[in-house]
Amino acid sequence: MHIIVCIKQIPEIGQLKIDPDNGHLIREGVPSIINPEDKNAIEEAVRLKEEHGGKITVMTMGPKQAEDALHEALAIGADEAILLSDDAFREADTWATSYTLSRAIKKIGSFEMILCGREALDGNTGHVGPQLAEFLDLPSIPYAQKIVMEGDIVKVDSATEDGYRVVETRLPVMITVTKDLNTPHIPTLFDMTDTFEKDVTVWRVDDLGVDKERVGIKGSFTRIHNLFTPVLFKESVKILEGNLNSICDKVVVILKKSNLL
Amino acid sequence: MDFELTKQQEFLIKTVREFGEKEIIPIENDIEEKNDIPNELIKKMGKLGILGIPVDKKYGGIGGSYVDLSIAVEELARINGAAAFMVAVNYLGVITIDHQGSEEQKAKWLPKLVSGECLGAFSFTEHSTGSDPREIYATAKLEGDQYICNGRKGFTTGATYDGPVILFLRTGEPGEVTAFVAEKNLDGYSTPTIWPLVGLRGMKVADIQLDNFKIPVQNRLNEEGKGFSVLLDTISVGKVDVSCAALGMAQAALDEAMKYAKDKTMRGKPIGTFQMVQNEIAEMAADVEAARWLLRRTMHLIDMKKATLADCAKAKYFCSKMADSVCHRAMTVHGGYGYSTEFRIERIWRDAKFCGLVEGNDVIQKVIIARDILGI
Repeated sequence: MHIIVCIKQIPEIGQLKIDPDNGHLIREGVPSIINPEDKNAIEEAVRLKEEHGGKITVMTMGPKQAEDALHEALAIGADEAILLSDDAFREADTWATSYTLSRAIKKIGSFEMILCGREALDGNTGHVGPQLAEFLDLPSIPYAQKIVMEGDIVKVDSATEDGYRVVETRLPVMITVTKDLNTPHIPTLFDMTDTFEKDVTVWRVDDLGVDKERVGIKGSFTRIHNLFTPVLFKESVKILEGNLNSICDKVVVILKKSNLL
Repeated sequence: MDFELTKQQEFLIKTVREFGEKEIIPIENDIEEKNDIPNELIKKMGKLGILGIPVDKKYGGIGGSYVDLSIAVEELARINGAAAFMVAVNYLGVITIDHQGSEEQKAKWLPKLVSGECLGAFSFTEHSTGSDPREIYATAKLEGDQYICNGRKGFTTGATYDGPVILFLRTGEPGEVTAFVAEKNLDGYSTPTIWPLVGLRGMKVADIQLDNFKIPVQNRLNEEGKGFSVLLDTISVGKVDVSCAALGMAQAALDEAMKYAKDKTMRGKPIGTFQMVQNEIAEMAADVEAARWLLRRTMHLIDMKKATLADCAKAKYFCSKMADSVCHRAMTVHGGYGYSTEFRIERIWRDAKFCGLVEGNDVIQKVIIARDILGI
């Protein structure tokens, strides 16, 4: 069985600082980590490989420093690592990112499963996994809390707002995972010495056969105009009383008075 | 000169930190209250690989450098001083056997020590001596194919745990000392006094009583009478090893002081905006950074086999004194609240104090340094 895990390297959110002059995030000097739920995805891939055999390819799109994330993924238990890195991929939104990843997966060839973290902590869109499934014409199962393989059928406990539902489909499949799926193990220092000797394969835009108008900023439908920390207003708190309908009426009045409706 | 950490070293820091946060912090209050580091944690540290960093892979180690060791122990000490000190002391046994042991001794002991199956100890001190071999009175007398040992060794960390102990015993005239690697807790070996410590709780320090304790001849390290040279070889690295723990604890103290300075407000502002607090934080940060690079340079010299005893003494002296000073200042930043067990700084302050008292206290390090540079 071949499992492909798509991961993202993100800044360690807790160590991000805010520029007091303009409210913008300061990323310089902030350590980078593998997006936490992507680690759950790698861990699950390792578990499935131990149970059913096969291999794990981990892949990410990013600058050269993203190789560190791939080495860490190799230490956790992936077999091969691929970095998609090119200036042409810069400033991609989730759509362009998913397109690029899908072309890389096409280049890889056969696979049975794609695992992605539910969402990245820095963007919180949760788009890439499902978009990837669309580009590759795969069934897409979100928010996996449990994955069971029975031959070429996979059964997934997929979280809902108030519980979970069991979704079953034939392979190949794209599954997004949540932190409830498992507890990622910490790779040992022994794993570290082995994996840093492994090479990371780097693919550039010309290696993928992509439409260059659909990658990077050119292929992005969304643009980030500004990132800032909103000013906190220390206004008084009003607690509205009454039944649900009367509270809703009061909220509408307040919003209209504040010119927000 | 390249001061950049390698990717592997950056990964090492991240892995040890993650391990500490997951495996040690949840039980640190238990360790403190029960005065015990669980065997399970020691085995986990073995599995992680932190107990065998500079040891050859054929003995179960990582095959890394002493610089890697210093990075790992520093990071562990930043999480918990007692766990880091236990690792540092285990390394005294590991390094002695690795440097001085026969192939049979290495094959027998190193895999067990680096895996966490057992813990090493290193026993030179007696009540009449800290580092003078002429004042060693515990004896080892050769009878047939074994040494019969009698006497008392003092204040030995790890003396109570199963595993090997490096013993330095008189085998002839005063000053004629021989080193041995012996299995603890066998007939004739006891630990009549376990010293309760102010800090580093979880780490057991005990006297060792030897009553006709038998050590086979094949457990002798190096030749008879060469004990002091064995001691000097290990103690150089041992000093720097303990310094790594001192550095990590100092960094932990600085972390706590910074956190407090940002969180605690007075007159509507964090106290970190007040210049006197900034003064303390700045001095701490500079001292910790200076100690870090002195230590890493010394470990680099050890890797190159160029480190002298004086080099190691400088690192030990500077790191221990720095840790004591930084912890004191961090406590000052906290004010009276820092003296409460509700804040982590008091434990770090207690733990770090030990660093300047063992492996040769600060005074001895200065004697070593002065004799070296003065040449008189």
